[in-house]
Amino acid sequence: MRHFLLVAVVLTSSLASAGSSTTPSAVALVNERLIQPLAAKEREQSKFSRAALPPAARRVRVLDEKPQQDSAGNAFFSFAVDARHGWAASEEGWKKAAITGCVYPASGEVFIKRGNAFHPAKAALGKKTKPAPDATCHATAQLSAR
Amino acid sequence: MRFLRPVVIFALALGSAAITWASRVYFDADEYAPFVMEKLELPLPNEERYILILKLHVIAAAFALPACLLLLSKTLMRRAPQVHRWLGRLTGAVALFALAPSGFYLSLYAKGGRLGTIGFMLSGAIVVFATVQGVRAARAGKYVVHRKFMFHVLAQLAVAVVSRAMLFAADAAALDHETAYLVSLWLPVIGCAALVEWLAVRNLSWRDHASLSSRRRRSHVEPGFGRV
Repeated sequence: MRHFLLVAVVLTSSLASAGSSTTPSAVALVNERLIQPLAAKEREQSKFSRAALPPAARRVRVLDEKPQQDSAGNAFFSFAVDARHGWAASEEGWKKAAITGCVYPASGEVFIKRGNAFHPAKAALGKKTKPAPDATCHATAQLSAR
Repeated sequence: MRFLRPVVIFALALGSAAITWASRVYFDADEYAPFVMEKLELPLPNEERYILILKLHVIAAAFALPACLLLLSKTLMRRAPQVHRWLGRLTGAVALFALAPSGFYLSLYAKGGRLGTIGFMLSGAIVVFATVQGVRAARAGKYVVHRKFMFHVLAQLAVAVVSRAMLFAADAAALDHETAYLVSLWLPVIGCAALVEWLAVRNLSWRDHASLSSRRRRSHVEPGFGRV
């Protein structure tokens, strides 16, 4: 039930964002590369742990209306993933920006922020990763809307 | 009240098995466990050392809690007292030299800041103190005292099971995770210690009452009439 809810909310989030011309592919990429693998991974996670339990639902918010450009000239969008725990579906139940990161629509790469560094999205699944280069997800200029 | 004993033992055995099963993830060389991932946010001063000590703690706990439950067995005590003694010695050594020291180290990076650290340290300190006192009492032949201290050890090991169950309930109720974490730590640590003390006092007063009644009954024994 929790995962049905999760998928439902993620889809709702994607559709809600589809009105914007710049973000649908970014939202879809974050869903595909981060949210869905994370939900699949969490289905296997033990509920009998001291670690925080997986949320009942997540939603993706793309924070930039226009793409930003890093020092290597690649365009990216910043995003935040909100998470909701428990059975109550009220707005107050959402924890804002439980995960933050950026997505590169051209290459399809998704990065998440951990500490002061950005890591590939698979780091959220527990995979051991090295931090992305310093330029990753750091804007030098904001591009005009495509 | 007596029927509760097998229920509690069964629940703790089940909880211990669930924790051990879930702890397999700590031994996966390619991945971080969700619990460790949370620690990476701190960040840890020495990640490898933390994971090594966490593994030691997991192995020690996987042995100590089921061993404590087995040591409660009256059948084992009656039929194989030597096994009870040696298993007790081994469990005591694991608690004193692996479980508690590793727990003290891990507590330095516990969720909830200082309150989390102090909570885990208090639980570890109770385990160390009770184990030492329990062994001393057994060596002195004071088995009632030995039993009480060993119950304290078991009660603190049971905190692992109780607190996880509480965290599960808190998540369902969407309570703030850090607050829930501290409540589900402190409540079982204090509650379990208080419960053991209460049971000890209750059993002692029951024994006093029983021995007093027995003495009274004996004083009413008259030749040729038996007990009144």
